[in-house]
Amino acid sequence: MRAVSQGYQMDSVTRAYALYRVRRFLQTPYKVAGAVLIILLAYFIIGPLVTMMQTTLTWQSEDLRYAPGVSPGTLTLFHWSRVLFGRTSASMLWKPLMNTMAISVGVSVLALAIGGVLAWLVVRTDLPFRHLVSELAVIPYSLPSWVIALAWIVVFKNRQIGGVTGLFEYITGASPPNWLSYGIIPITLCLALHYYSFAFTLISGALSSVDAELEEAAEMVGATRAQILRKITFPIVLPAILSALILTFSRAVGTFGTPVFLGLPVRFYVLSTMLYANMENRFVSNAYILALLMILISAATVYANTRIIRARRSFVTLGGRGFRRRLVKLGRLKGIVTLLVAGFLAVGVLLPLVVLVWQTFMLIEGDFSPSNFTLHYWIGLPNPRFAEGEAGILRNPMILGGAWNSIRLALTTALITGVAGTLVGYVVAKGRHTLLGRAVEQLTFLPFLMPSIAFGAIYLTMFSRPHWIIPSLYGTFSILVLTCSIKSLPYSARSGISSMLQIGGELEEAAEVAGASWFTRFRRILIPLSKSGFLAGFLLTFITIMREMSLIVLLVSPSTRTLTTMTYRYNEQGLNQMGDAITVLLVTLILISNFAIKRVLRSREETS
Amino acid sequence: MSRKVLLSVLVVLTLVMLQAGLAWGETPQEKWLKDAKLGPYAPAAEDWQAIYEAAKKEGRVVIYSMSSRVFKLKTLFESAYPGIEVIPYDLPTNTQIEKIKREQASKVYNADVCLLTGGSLIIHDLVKSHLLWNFVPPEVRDVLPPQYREPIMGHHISMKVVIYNSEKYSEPPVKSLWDLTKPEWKGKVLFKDPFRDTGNMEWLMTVIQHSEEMAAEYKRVFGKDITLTTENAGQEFIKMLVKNGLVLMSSDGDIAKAVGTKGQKDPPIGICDYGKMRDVIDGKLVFNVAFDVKPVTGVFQPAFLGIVNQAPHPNAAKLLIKFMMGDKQGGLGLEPWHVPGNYSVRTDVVTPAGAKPLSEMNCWMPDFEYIYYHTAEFFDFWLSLL
Repeated sequence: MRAVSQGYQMDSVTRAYALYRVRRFLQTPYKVAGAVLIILLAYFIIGPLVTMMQTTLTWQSEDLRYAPGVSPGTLTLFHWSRVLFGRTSASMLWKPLMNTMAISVGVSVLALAIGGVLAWLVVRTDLPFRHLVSELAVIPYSLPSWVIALAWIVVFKNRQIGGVTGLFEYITGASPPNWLSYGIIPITLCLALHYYSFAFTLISGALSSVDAELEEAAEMVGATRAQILRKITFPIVLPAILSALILTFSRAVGTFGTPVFLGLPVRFYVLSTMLYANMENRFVSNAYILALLMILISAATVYANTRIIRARRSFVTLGGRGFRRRLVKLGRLKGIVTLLVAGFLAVGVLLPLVVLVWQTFMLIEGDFSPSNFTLHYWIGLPNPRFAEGEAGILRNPMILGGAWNSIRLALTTALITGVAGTLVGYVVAKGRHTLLGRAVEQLTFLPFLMPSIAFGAIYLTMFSRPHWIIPSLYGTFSILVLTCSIKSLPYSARSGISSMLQIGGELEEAAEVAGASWFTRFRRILIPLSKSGFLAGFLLTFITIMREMSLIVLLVSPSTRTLTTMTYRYNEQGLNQMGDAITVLLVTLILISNFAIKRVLRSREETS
Repeated sequence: MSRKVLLSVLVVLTLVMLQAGLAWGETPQEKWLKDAKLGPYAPAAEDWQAIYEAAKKEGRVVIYSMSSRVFKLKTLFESAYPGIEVIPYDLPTNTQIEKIKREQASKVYNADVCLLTGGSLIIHDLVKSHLLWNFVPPEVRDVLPPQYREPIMGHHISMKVVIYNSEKYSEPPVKSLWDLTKPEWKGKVLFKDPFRDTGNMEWLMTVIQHSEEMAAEYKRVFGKDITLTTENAGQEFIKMLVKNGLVLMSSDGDIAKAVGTKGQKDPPIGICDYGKMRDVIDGKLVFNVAFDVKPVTGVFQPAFLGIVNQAPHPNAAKLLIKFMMGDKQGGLGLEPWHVPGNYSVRTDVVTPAGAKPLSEMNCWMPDFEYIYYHTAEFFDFWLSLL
């Protein structure tokens, strides 16, 4: 009897303890959120990877073109051995791989240098017109990445490709050498001019959250300016620098438009263009192998990054105290620096835009005379002589519909990922040293490693038929939103994580002691403090999706086409004025929305 | 004994039920074919008035087209058949095939009509698997050559040919395809990237298939037998072309512009869609086709027309297709494609003004069976040259 009751007691104790553990788990919001996130992320991110892997290891119906006898669906190592060691592996893999690596490293370093210096100048010095500079500096990022490449061609086009030669030859009389016109050097430069805004945005965000008191304290104990920069400022912005470096690197690995326009004439291939070639010709398995290798490269980078981050200490800079910023005086250098910045913005940012806008006013391409000026491509009525008889873009219901789709898609995606990113940030920041936190962090970053074009292709495969509880999404707007949201999660997650990391635990702890519920804490403390991070993530996503092409080009259906998928088609057909007019419309929309969103959020801040 | 009887009765019953079930439970595809009067249910003659009435009820017709001239078609059709809206989509052939396959797999029926090139893929990936149905308006059946009647109807023929700047050169500067591999054209031959255009892939593969003619032509030009470092004379030609600095371009429009821009001192040569000739007629560019290049000046590229499986607007689709086939003079529906560089597949249509008759165009016709089964091999060969 006694033994029985003891057993019963023991049992009830363990049960109570288990219950306590469960309740404790459920009361630890970051764990619950983390568990839900893990399940969702595994489904949406690991799932596609498995599908990809499966495809590369089985015979596909397309392979009947190689090997008429095989039965599709059976296992094979054929694709891997062909890509890695086959007779064409040098052209298919190794040469493009080396080109990709060289370009990605070059772009990351260059972009970081440009973006970092600009960010420091704008945030921490008394450079004049700082606000204007920071507005202008993010413009290249809102252009589709191949726009700078197109502008480059207009300037540096040489005689190799006949027709009207570029502005360079027009001015100097000499034909630019091939290495300057096409291939690795222009690709690297153009991409750096596009991607530096990444480093700029992230680093200026980090720099503006550095409390000047830290630096003043150092100054008071006699540190020099260089020492302060090296010992205080730099370590604090290091996470942002590393993030920028990695984001740039993986973007550069997966970029497609620029290498196509500047590499094709000299038959210069990188992994992404080779992947596209395989995809286009429906050698899907080869394409997936290249994609998996690209993912591997980026994963290795991230691994290196986490090693570095783990080694460094983390800093809490947003405490419960007051906060202010102090500007470094540029002094005698002010004039020169201002001139350099102005020159950079004029050449790197405004020139491509001017070239683009100019192009849309030329009735016949390349004829710069005033008599050739026209508004036909903007507001013209259909005329069979030009643009295949299509009406100007502002009269064209199809293009206006595309504009609405672009905005709708970008807003929805930015909102979804903004919220998801904040949640991820919370889970990761709270669970920094737990397996859960690390797993969520790694998983959310994975989509970034997948080249857009491959990512789109996988989602097309997965969701064009009912998949578990998800109905067939083919041709719907939802599949665009889903794909874009998952693909851009890394952006918002990164900004969510870094802003959450900067918020000291003491604030939330204090609120908890005072009896605030988790929801209240989240709403009253975490959201307001991480708002600038949320906003940065929201805007980045919005802009990225507005100008996204390779991710959705396979997924759009006629009624869900966006401006980018239209412009690319026009440019590809050589109807450059139409394509460029659409790009100008796109950029205008991005700039207006950007301005409007900032305005709305600022006014809300003032009223609250 | 009684067991056996019971069993046989059961078997018979099952068979009868199965039979009945098959008859009653016809597939949606079959029902659609019957309703649309397509495939096995196509009548010998169509009642176009009834089709127009039915099409008006459908209200619209969605067309995927690899040619952007489909936007002109929209205006023309809507004025000829009021009450039916054309929703045109300009999609490259590869994208169309990919889309149709996906859409059909997920039972999304968006498109009604497809206009596309790439014969080998159309036949193997769409027609054989009943994703695209052939519809030949009875009125044109007799004026179509057999290869454009079955398995899928042709619409127009375009071709990629050798073009040169006619302002700089009063005579074609090249007389043979092999001339393009000579040092004076080093880095000055433009060609659309075959990875991005099935037409250009077919162009090169057709040259390989005609290796014997290429070898004979080599001997005529260089006065000696060709020494092969590859498998055949066609491959050798392509290899020499690439080694001579072949410039890959992203569109035929860009090639036409590069070759045909006025006032050039040293213009390049291009292999380009003959249809770009429209820019010459409009006075925008100056180039001409090197018609007498041997053994051929280029390769044909037929475009095909079909009705998508379970299309939501089959009557409007039929009407649109009939309209697009035009009449003897070209006609409204054919007008966008009745221009120099394009030829109707109909044998009775007059040659577009300002163009050579099709019979005088010295081009090879791609062999789609050969192409389908050699694409992978060619892909590898081309890769090895990069």
